[in-house]
Amino acid sequence: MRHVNLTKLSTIAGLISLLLLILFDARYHFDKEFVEVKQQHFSDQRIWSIFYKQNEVYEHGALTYLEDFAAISLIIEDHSTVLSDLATSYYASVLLPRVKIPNIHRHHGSLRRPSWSAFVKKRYACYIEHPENLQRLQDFKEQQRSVSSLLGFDYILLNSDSVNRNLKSDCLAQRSKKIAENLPLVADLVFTGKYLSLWKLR
Amino acid sequence: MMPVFFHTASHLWIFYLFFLNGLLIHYLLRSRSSKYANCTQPVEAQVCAAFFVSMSLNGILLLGVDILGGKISQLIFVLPVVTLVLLISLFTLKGAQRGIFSVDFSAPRLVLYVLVFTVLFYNGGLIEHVTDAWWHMALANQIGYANSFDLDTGPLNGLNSNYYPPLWHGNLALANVLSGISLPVFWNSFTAWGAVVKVMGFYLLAYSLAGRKNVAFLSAVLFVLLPGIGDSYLRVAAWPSHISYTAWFCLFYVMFFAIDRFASDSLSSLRNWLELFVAQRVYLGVFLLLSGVVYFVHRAELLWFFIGMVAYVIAVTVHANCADEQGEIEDWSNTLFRILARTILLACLSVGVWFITEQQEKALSSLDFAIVFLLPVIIFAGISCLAWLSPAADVGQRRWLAYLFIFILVTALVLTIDLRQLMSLFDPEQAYAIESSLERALHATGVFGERLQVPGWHHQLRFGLLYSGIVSIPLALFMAIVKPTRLSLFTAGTGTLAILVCCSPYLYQWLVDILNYHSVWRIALLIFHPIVIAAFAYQLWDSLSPDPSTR
Repeated sequence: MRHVNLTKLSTIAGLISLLLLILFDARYHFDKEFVEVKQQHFSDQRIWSIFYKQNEVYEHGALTYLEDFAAISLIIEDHSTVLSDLATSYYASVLLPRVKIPNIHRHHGSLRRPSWSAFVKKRYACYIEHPENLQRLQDFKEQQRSVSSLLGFDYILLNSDSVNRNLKSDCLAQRSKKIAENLPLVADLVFTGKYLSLWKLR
Repeated sequence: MMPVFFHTASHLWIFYLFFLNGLLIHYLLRSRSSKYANCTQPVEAQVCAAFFVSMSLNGILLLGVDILGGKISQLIFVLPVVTLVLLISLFTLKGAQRGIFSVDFSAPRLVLYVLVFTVLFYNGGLIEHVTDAWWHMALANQIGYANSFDLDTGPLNGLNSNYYPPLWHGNLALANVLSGISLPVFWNSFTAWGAVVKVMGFYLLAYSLAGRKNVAFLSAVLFVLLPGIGDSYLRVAAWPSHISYTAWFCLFYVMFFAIDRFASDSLSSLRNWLELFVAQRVYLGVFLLLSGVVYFVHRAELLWFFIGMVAYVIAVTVHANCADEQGEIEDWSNTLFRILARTILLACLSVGVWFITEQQEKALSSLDFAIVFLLPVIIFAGISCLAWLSPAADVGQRRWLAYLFIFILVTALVLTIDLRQLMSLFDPEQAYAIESSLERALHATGVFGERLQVPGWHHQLRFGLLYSGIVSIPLALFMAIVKPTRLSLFTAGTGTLAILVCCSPYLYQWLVDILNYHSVWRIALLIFHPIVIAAFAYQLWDSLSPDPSTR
């Protein structure tokens, strides 16, 4: 009968356990469903994945708007204030010259300031006709006035992209067509590109 | 439709602006200092050096532009001149100095880096969501237009904003202004480069702990594969925090490299100290450069470096007092390390005492808060006693004291751990309620009814810790007891400290209060599970090997 070395066996079992642990934890990189579920829930895909394509970045990361922004940057006035939906406000703050583009997020050091985020995230803004939502808006404006005066926009920037997931999830962006219908009453169209249109408030 | 070769120009600019000049300076430094050359022998150290030196050089040039009131675009004339001067200096080196181009690499490592680059090139950076990547790029955009680090207003809303360390944003602004290529394109392209540099930094950290290339290589592979706080999060490699992580890994590498090469055993006089600084000036210089990069990119990693060292010093001190003289690990026999360890512990103790006096009112307001403020002081006082006692007392006496201390420490810590918080790591149903936003800390109830903060596992921690992260902590402790080495003591110390802070409302509250930092949960960065698992796997593998020389 062959001698069975228990130490060796337990060592091999230990190695196999480690391998299984590694395979279990590393499965996310090779799991197509993981990517899809994250996309459905708007969750950030921080880890790499063999199923994540550069097209995602291209179609949902403003790279399709570069030409439009290059054209706008030539005509927009320095230090003007632009109103846009959440995603486009970020893109514009990166791709336009010195303009102010306030948005509802409160990244890095602006936590103490009143924010639109609760207001818009809960979709109060999309149903502003309800009296309680109007009251919420009024409350927000009161708080905002106590901090600074941001109102007084120079431009409105509308984004008509129908692919970008960030716009699809934003009820304000989705209502941009309705907004555009009424804009000629208060603003002049100064630029129309493939995706973006810039309106100068009178 | 996405063009097939889009971003090619941005990759060339990244190579030039973020690597080339730094690489040339790095080779010149190698020609002038054999110590620097030895320290940067691995290919990983050379790439990291090229990157951090380039970033620093660009930062200095940008600062010059800012001070002189120039424009960033004018650097288009300066940078090629810098490159030319560096190239001429390199080509005029004497024949004997040509050895500076020697490099330590292996095919598997290169394959790993090529694979990481390819996958991340294919994946791209995380800009498809409106994350704070856009805030960072907006800041870079503002720096580019203002030609200044010193901005009047925040990048989005025109309101005053808190200061953010601007070195990485300045480098992005430089690339944007000089090339005319947009910031999102740079951010996206750099992700592949940043991911490789980050994995290389982790290799260096693992190598400095293990002293074995195979363990370091496997650690780097596992760093790519296993989720953790920052580990395998390679799509966010262009974030300032992740640039800073790489420099943080390198800080550990340089520090351990310097300690290993410290020869003198006497530091009793001022003269000895001066000699030490002169002899170690190269490592000190590299250490300061890296610290500067961390400070001006994302300062928190200086804190994690210090806390990592505290954890290691505690682990080594406890071990040194339990082991007999033959069993001591080399670091404890090293005079420089012992002095460093005692200084760190005394600094922690002093800060703890100072904080009690500073927050007297809060400390006296309830028994729970009294524990919050006293517990760290008691721990540091005990460890400091052991650290000072170690060489003076005889083995039996100090071992007895060490066991007593460990018993008291473990009892105190076990009593302060919040079991519900610990269990909710595995069972989200048991977690404390999220109150205002996902990023805010949760509130546990102390033994005497006070509301104390704990981190929410939902915020990256659960995904990063289950399961290899959490498994690595007992594994590291096991290795530290069975086979104490620098690696096992370091990973056991850092991992245990990190998980204790996350599970004990008293320790977490203390750290939140003393640091006044919103992301204390990031302490879980100190759980280096890829290194633990790699080292444990090799330890098992070695024990199977019939040839003891391979062990």
